[in-house]
Amino acid sequence: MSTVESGLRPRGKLPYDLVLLMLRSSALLLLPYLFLTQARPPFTLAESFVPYRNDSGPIPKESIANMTGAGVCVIDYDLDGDWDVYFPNRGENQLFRNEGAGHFEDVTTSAGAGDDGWAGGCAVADADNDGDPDLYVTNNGPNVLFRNDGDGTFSQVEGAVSSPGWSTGAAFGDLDNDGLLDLYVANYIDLSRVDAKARCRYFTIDVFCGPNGLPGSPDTLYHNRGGLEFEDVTEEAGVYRPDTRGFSVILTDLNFDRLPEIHVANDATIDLLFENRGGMRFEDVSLQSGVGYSGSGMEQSSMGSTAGDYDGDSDFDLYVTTFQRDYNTLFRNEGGLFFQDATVTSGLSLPTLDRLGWGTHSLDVDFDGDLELFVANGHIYPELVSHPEIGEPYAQENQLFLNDGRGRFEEARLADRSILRVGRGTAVGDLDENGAPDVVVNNLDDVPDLYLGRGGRHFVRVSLVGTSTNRDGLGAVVRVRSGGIEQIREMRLSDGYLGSNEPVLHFGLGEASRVDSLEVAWPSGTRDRCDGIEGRKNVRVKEGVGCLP
Amino acid sequence: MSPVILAALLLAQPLEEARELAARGEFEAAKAVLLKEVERSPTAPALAFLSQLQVITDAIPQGAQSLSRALELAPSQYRWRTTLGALYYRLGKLDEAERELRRAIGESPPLPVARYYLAGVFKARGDLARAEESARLAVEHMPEEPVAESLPRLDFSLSVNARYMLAEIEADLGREVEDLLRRTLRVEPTHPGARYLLARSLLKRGMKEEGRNELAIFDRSKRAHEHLQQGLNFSHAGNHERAVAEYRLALEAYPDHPRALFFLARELVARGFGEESQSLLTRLVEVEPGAEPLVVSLRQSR
Repeated sequence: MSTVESGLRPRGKLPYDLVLLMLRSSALLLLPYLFLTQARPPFTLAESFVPYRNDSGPIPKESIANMTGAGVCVIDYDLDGDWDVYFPNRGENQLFRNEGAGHFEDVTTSAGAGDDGWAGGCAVADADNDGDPDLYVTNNGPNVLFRNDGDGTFSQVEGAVSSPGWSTGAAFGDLDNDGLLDLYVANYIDLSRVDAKARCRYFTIDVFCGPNGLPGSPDTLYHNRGGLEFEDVTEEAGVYRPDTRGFSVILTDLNFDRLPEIHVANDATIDLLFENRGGMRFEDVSLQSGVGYSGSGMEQSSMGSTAGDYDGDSDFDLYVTTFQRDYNTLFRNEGGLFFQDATVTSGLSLPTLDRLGWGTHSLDVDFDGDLELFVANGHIYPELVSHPEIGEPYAQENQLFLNDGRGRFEEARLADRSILRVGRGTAVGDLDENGAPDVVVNNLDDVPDLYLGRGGRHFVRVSLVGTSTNRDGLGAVVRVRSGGIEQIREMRLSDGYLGSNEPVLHFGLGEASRVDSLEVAWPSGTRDRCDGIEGRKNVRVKEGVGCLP
Repeated sequence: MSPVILAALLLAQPLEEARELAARGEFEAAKAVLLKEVERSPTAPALAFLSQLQVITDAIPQGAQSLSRALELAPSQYRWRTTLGALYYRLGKLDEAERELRRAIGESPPLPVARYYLAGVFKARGDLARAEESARLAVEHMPEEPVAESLPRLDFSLSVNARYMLAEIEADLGREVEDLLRRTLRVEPTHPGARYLLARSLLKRGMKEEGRNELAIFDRSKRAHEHLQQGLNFSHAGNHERAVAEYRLALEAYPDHPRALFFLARELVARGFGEESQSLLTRLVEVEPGAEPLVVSLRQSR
């Protein structure tokens, strides 16, 4: 693949002084290069994807339950090496098997992955450490755990993690470092205490009420006791908060003690950060850490969330999407679980004020070794279609923010064509197996979109096999050094909005063609290191063994 | 009667009628009168008043539109122009906001209110240098509002908010802001944003105990503020019992909160509960001596 095709330097990223130098050297032959590289965005929007359509109830929306939409999960349920896609929906979830060449087949029934609940979110992980991914679906009603039977079918596991409220986000992670994946489930609003027919006003428009004024619902923490038996330990673990309205959950080790913290993006209530003190005990540090509120001390209508090292200082920062007329917030990790709202100084304030953000991901779309931000957008009030004077469109464009490597971002063209949708859940996975992360967006009351990454020349994709650590290696921290740059990623599947990503860490290498070193710090304390990886795009690391041939 | 006087009277009639309706809280009816009037014969005062009513009733885009029309008829009204800039700022229309605010400042410098909103525009764009300059000018030319004037409202005075915004901008620029915040908090000790920023600054400097104390006060301020907001909503909706309950919760969260003391006393005075309201007002003056004129007037209103 040539440099031009690789899309290594998308629009806006070519240094200006280099452009001048090239032009002055009258290298006219380079002009087509400049044109192509500056014009080509990193994604192509797939013309068609899957025969799925989100159903979130009638329009106009009668209740807040009709606006939250659904997430999406990337999962290799049949272990054939490519990524299949699971869509939660209202009464008709669908699983699509990846047949290759952009074709997907609905296998919901044959795989036993259907459910008639009102689904919103999903989470994927090998919860029983048997080598295949299990699937958890959150509902407005009892949730469902599907055990993967290893033969391309699922069985529903009764009872244990049903959490019968209105659940939204969920994330698996080994919170007590016993090798078993625990489960945190965010709950949104206690609908049993809500007048479903109440109407409110947004500017002058008659709309459904909420979330302000509606009672939140406590989240649930399940401790994995083995054999897919879970115990609700919410109160004794110290994570019980009765009145928050939870959406997205990230389990991420923010202070490098090999114990993941719990971050919950809450809608119009304080975002939560629970410091993991070990032994399944947590301390609520939402307020003192600085991630509970924006830098102004205001609660935000937080929807989606992601984490990554945006400023290259080898720790994980947080990014949270929020409501229209508020900015999506970047919290810079300053160490010691202290965060600074760095939205304004990172250039991310203005471009998100006129959008309502949902799913978001940290991914290196230009393969230059730093993390960009993808954001799916869409409003909650369809009535806005007939009120253009308010200036808040219902359907909105998704966004991409390119990182300059030091944590300063600039909005860039996302895909080859723009499209207006009411975006909600998102998930990342290399569905077309070209080495670039693709993004699936589950749109409200609409068909989903698939953003296909164009690919790049130099990269490495790292997958993990835990042995004493959980099988997926969730919580493991991977450092890749190449071309004088160190990058750090953490294996975690749930981020974005109510969805789950491929269990692969993608590292763009810029101009470097080899990985000088790759180091995995497993939650168990084991460290594996491989040096001088050249000519390999996919690297699998087994705990205690190292890079597999 | 001369035709000129007759015309003036005819013009004044609908405006007067709308004013009377608005004074009785019948905003929609007042709007209807004015909408009819401006359709028939648009005048700047009628459009400006209509804009005010539209904003009060949440029709902010329409309010901006009416005010914009008023300014076409009376372009030298720089105060209206400042308001229009502020409305655009609230609507997130930053370019329009900047245009109107700059024009207003051009017509009547230094115009600190316009500078304040302009600082907000620059801050939202991440242009911290210009945001700082505007906020500084706003603070420089904006006198402190007497407590008695700002206390009946839940919103803090613009002069306090301008100082807070300047502190936020300075903090983003990596500067020391604790002095400025402490000065702001001396005027408005329950300002949640200023308290939060101070707490964050202290924590960042490793002053954990002080920082946590400030966070605790912030938390109480915030909870009190939320109850006060709810209480006001109930009060406006005519549910005075629930309003009183919310104000009591605010006082529970933050004892001696000046606004909570005042709002509760005001509600009780209106309902004839004399003894408790008197003790609340006495306490208010102890906590906030600047509130005395307000307390006197409330006592007289019994």
